[in-house]
Amino acid sequence: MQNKEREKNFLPLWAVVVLDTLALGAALVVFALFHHVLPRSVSPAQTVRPVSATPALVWTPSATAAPTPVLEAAGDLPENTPEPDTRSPWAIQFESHFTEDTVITENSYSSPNVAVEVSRLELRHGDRLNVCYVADIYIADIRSFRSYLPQDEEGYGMRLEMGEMARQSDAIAAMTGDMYAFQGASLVLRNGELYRDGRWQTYQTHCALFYDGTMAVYGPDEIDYEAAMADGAWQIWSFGPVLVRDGKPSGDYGSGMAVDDPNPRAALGYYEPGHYCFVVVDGRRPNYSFGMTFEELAELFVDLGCECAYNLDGGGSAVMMLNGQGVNIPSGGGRELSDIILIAEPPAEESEAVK
Amino acid sequence: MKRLLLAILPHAVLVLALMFLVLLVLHEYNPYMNFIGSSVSRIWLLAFCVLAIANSVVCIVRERR
Repeated sequence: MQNKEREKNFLPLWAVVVLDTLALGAALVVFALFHHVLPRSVSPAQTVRPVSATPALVWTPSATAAPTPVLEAAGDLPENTPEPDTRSPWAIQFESHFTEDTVITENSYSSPNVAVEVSRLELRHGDRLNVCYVADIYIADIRSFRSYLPQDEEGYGMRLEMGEMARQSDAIAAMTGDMYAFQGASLVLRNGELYRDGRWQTYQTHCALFYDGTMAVYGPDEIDYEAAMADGAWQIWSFGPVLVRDGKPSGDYGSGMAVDDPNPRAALGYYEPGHYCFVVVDGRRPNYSFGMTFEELAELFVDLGCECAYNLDGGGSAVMMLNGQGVNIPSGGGRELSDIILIAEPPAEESEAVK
Repeated sequence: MKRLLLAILPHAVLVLALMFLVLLVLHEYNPYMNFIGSSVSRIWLLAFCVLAIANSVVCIVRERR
């Protein structure tokens, strides 16, 4: 009798299975909400300044302009006295790419400080056709290579569409960043400002751009945040994998089943200080562009001649813009992003981060 | 209330265990989303551990009665 009464108080087995399944669904929804839906607000906590031993390519012509010749007491300037060259070293080194006036075409931008040219490549990997866009970038001032983190009244961490961020940041060329607000808790350093101090999260890969224009890539647990900031890191990104190191494919691209498959990609390449490239690969459209594996993407950067290359957020996030116009066809129409990397004219006044 | 909590406890442990199985599969599918190592995952893992301990204690106490 007592057992029968106990049995009456129990739900039928099918009801228990249904309720537990619903509870599992609810738990996964709550997890997703806090893991990658709700933005995580961050605020600048520290400014990283360039070290004196590694001067920033933040060009102030008065600092190192050639000295004017000493005038004779009773004479004029000697004839044919050359005008002091006040251009930055990069502007001199890459002068064939810069123009005296700003020139904007459908696939390029050039000015005295910035030169960007976008090329469309059609590559075939086996029976797969891939369309990718390579933005070849020359800058005269490191401040032209920036990140943009949109913020609202609650601080940073919000998401916006690429077009709106490019407009707000006066970007000449822009590409998706590393979605810092929605992945991990690694250190976030942008434009010389430390936004998230995840110094103990070194297990991810990183890419650092320094004030002197050099770029370095780091595998899991390779980065020393303190050393990188002491060496004058201007930007640190964390997504990965590292595609190219020392001019060769890194060979270590992770083991995610879906991620390793051909996908739309966005990645950053480095040739030498002042010379970089953005690469976006369209994908998930078999009749147009299938997408690339990391190995194929690494080979592309090696063929381009990059010293190092680093993968950023791809898939639906892979978007590139030039002169306010979309360059590629983002998968699924693109998505809202938490940050972008961009090329813009250097600010007229010296920013606080580089004083 | 106590009966209700003791009745829910094993189901909560089951749900969390299944959730982490799902996260492990998703992590293999796309490790860059950091489903296992994120701070959110660690909070859920902590809850799972606490509930599993509580459930085990309840079972052991019942067994010994």
